[in-house]
Amino acid sequence: MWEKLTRWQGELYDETRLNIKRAGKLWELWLQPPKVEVGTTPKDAVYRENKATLYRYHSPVNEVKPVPLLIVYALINRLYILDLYPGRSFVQHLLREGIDVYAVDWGTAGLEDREIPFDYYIEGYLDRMVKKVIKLSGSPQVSLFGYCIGGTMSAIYAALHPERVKNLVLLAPPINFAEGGYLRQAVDSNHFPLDTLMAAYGNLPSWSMQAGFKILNPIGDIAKYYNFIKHMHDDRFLENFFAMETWVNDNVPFPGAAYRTLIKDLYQENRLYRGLLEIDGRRVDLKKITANHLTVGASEDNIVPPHGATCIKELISSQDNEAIVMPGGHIGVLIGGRALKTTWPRITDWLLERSGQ
Amino acid sequence: MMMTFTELSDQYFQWWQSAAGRYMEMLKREPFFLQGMGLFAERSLEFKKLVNQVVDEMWRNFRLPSLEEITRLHERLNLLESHLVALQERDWAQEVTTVLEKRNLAARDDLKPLKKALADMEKQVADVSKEIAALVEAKVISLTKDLAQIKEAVAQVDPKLGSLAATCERLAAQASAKKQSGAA
Repeated sequence: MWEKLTRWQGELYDETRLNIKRAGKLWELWLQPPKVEVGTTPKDAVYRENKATLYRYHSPVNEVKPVPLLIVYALINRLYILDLYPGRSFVQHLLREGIDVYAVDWGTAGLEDREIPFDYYIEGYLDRMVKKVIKLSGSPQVSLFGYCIGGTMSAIYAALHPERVKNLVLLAPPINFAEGGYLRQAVDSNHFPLDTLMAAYGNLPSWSMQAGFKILNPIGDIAKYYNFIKHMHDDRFLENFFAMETWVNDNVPFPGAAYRTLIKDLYQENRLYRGLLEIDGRRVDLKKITANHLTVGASEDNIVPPHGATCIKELISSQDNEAIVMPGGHIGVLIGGRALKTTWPRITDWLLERSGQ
Repeated sequence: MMMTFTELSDQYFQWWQSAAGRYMEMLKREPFFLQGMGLFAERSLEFKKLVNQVVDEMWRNFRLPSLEEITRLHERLNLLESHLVALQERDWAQEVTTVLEKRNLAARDDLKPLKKALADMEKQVADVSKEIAALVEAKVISLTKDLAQIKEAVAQVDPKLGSLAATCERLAAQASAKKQSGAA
């Protein structure tokens, strides 16, 4: 009994010390908020149109694989989630492995972009960027890496231009929107005022987007700050926490016309999966995808449930065709602690095997 | 067994999180909740539209362009930029080559019937000339034969003509002698 009491006393002492340290840290953070540097990997803008920019990352190795990789990020949030900070940068990992990395940054849509259709993002911006990458790299084909809606866009592009895509890697891409989880239910035409929203704001405001994600996990913020208090004495935790917070709160407006297509044609009518989607007057038939293909679904994804993504395997004609599920949520599957040892090497090894001429 | 404060708070927090999470999950999927949220959003957005209209009207009264007008102008500038970029990014050399190749192919296609007709004609001419040559050759052979026969006939006729010619000459000499005596 006495021994237990002594141990408890010791633990209480340790906890008190830790709590004092936490309080000191909180005070320090309040007085001097940390400067968060994200997306620090050196890169050059090689093409610009309107708000969209095509970046080419500086490779740290002398010899890169002949087939370049073009990262197509979603129209939601910012590209730098893939290049968060040194040590948590998927882009740096790819570069170190000898892959020539390009990335599309869609920029921040303004009110003047409200009428740019979803079609133009694919057949306009993306098409020109793919051609630019082909021109700069000298390779006749590229590898496309699409994340989230960027994955959907990449799949559509690969179906429309199979001759330009050698490898197609999709990370948590919504393909069967009928399996879109709670988001599908939330944007149902019975209650979601899409037309009024577009008429009032033009674009989908960033705060509205953020509210939409918050409702997916309503008590997520409380858990997040509880976790923050618990680990705030750990500098490595803080570095990751603030970088993630910067990204999570750095939402961008979703261009109106493209959002209308996303909600109406994709979420409500599931046209892509049903083979009825038309882009620039051409029907998108996923069967036309012939590129080597890898889709990675996230086991705990509540935005794109894993089967809503991996079902693409059944819809395409690729001979080299693979769909896997990795541990993590929609973001965690790419940038979580486990991802560094699971998702990253899996994707990189797959790409390296297929990026030769 | 005694728990530390952190362990205790963790345990209670997890219990609360799981209970509240379950409740929120149930609530957010409830059709009544979704309909209510939709209705609330619809009304708020209608109000926002009204505010936009009032603000636009206010700027118009100040004789200043409204947000809508400025946005339209930006949209046109964007469109212009897109057109310019599209022109700039076009691979003109490649396009011209493609057009020329296409025309070349089209010209080849256009010439095809002409070439076929010419080949047919050449073939016909060759066939016709062969036939004519054969005919001429046959004719020449038959003419040569005829000539030989004529020569033979002439050769047979020639001695008979010799005696006839002497008689003719004699008769002619008699006739001329008679004429001369008559005149004298």
